Amino acid sequence: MPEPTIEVSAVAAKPKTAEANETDRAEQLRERRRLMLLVLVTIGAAVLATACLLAQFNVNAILYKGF
Amino acid sequence: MSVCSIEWVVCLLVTSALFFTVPGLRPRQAMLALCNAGFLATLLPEAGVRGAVALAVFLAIGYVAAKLMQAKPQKTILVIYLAALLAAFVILKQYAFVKIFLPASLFQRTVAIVGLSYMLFRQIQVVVDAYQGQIENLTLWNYLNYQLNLFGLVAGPIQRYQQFCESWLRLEPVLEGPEAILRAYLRVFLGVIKVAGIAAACLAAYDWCTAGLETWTGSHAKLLARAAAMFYLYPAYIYFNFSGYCDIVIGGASLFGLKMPENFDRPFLARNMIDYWTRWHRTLGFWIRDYVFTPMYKAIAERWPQKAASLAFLCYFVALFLTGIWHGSTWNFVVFGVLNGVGVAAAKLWENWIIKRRGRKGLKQYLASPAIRAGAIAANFHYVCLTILFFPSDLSKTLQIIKHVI
Repeated sequence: MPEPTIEVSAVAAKPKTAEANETDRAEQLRERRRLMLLVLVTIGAAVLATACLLAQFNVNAILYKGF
Repeated sequence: MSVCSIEWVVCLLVTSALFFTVPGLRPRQAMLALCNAGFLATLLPEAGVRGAVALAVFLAIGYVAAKLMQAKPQKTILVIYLAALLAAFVILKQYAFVKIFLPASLFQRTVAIVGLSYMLFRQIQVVVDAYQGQIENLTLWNYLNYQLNLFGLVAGPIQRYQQFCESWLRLEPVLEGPEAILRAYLRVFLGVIKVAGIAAACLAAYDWCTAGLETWTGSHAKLLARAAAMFYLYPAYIYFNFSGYCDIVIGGASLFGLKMPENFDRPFLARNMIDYWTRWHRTLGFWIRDYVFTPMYKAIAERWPQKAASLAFLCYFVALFLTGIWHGSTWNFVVFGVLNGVGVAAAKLWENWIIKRRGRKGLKQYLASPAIRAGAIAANFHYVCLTILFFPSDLSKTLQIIKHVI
């Protein structure tokens, strides 16, 4: 009796259809775009956070002379 | 050094980037311990030499007590220890209401201990859990790093020793992939924006509104609008400040492989004060539940089993009153504690009343109704705003705002 694993590996070894490849590529592209967006948002947040800290520092410097 | 400062954020980013290039657990622990010591060193000058000595004594006593409880658990010793610890805490914090009963000489010499309020919770947790046989891996090294963990030293979150050890004894990356790391950075930056941007703006607006309130001569409508703005601005300031701080430390800790407990879960959507304390400063709410409310309720249930359910509201009141007064030593926090105690006790009594009138099924229907839920959230939100108005120590100003709103 043939091992069921042989059948499974035979199915897995089958080359992907062009349609499946296209879906994979689209998924990868979406993933990359999402990551890029996250990078941009993080950089934006970092800039804004620095601006907030600097503004607070200046306010403190004005409020408490010699800070 | 403040957690919300440029130097802290830069140190965090640089150190976290290097952290996992250090191989092995021990060197990583040593590096984190150095960070803890460095952070503490920036805070100690404010406390002075006496503050540093007092901190060392406080930590040593906690460790010895926990070891003693592990070796020989005795209820009497535990009770004496807890009573002495709480008495020392109350005197060190110079609680205004205690000064009425105790001699003034006790309060003449002030000693400031860095992060005392939060270390008290951690110390009690370790000692009580050691007594109950729930603590493993209790070594001086682990204990000191737990107590002085820079991500929870100043203002929490209140982490349990066992939970800390889960991360501390592994110190491996907990963030999987670049997306998770980016999200942690984003959380830190958003935390900074919340604290230094939004919260600071809310506080500035609140201060602007309160300035000259005593001598206000404008129209009644304008005065009402100004008082209403103050009513919402201070709670907004407290929320953004504290949740922003938590975002910074929780996000920052995750970059070092340390998992800190979450402290907020959309608190202004709570439908009553009991619900609120499971959403706002959650680690404090859960600590109070486990180490104050539950033992108290258990003691009542053992003594008067029939009355336990109807007396639960009393346990709620005491637990949340204590939570309130823990926040600060001035009289406004007594009012804050009373309001929180009354809020949770009323929520429990209301629940009991519904069960009495309409049964468990009725309560279920009541909780499922969207209209009631919306009304309850709105009412609770305003009650929460009222309690937070008592955060600033100037009681007369708070009373004036309330007078104008009413």
